[in-house]
Amino acid sequence: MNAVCDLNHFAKAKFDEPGRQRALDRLKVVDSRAEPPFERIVDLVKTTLNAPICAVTLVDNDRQWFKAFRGLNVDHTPRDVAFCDHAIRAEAPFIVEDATKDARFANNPLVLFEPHIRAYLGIPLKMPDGYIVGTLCVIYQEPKAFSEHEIAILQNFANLVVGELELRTIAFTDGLTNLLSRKAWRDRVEAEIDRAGRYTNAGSILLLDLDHFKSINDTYGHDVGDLVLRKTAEIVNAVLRKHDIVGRLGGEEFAVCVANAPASVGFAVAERLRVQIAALAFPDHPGLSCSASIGVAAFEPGATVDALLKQADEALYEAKRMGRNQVRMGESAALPSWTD
Amino acid sequence: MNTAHELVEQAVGDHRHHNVPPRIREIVDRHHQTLLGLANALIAAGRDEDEVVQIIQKASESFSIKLRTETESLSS
Repeated sequence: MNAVCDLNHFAKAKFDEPGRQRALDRLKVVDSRAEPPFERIVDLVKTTLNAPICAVTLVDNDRQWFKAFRGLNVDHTPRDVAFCDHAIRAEAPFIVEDATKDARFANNPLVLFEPHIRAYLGIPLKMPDGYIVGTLCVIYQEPKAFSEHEIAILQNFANLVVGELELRTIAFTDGLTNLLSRKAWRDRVEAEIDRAGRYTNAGSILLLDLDHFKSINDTYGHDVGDLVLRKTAEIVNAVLRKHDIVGRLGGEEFAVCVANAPASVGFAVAERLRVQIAALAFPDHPGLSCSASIGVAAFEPGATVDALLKQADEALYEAKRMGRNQVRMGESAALPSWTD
Repeated sequence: MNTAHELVEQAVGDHRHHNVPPRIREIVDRHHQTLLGLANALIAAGRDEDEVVQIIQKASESFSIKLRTETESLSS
């Protein structure tokens, strides 16, 4: 078993559920689209270990969601029936050789019904900060004893998944603010608009631009300008709900997708952001203050990200023209109704 | 009989020496270690050398492409 232990190269795992959940949220990966690196790994695992079912599983608050999977008909299941929830708590390779003979799982619906799990091997996905965000697992529909070599092979594939998650996070994250990069934000919002269209959900796009940011840089220097950007990002993160999508599009421009809520909520969120940004204090830099102008565009049937961004940009321009430090709705959007 | 190190070299070369930004270097080093570990585990499981090289190549391909893209975007 040494090969397995030696490759488990990060700090001791911490089972602190709130921290674990935050670590998963920081990856911004749950509900993302299929991506080649993870698809390739599950294909390789399936072939190499001759497994009918394989998944990269991320254990979210109340469900396990599959980033990539083979041999399953669903992309998530409730967490309370998930074998992977046991695996992340075990903090080591988790093995069930015959679920029907294991009191913990014999009556589990995933054993009694589809996908009829009999044997399970799950390797926790332990990130460098020590938090376990999910597993790489293989499932068999017959009883099976797992060899040391099979466990070592899956452990190494799990380490590859962790590396891919790390690289993905760097590629998709703005280094200064830790918000999504422009491209990652667009990809996530496109997926959200697709979903909203399917379920006729409401939503809105907020485009936020810090006022007179160039003069802050010119007067106080770029380090202070960076501090203002980081503080703004902190406020945006604090105000938004978990499922809203926020990114830094570039320079002093931020974008937010307020998902699954009427335009009036998007407008109210924008107003709250504006007020809190205007209230930012910088004790080390007397005289420094900042404000933001925000344009809001409501989801409309058939509207693309580009169309919504254009509409929000026009509203933002109007906010700037009217004196800055204010929120404006896009023209073709319905005026917000506070009683929506 | 080639070693795991030689098989990984054959499959992907040694990209640890490429000019990668510091924030990525650590990830690249761990990735390389993992490939070595995977090759060792596959050899121990009795897989033949061609199969090991193929698996390592496939396992590393997406990472290498993303790494190249990311390295270019960070250095531009």
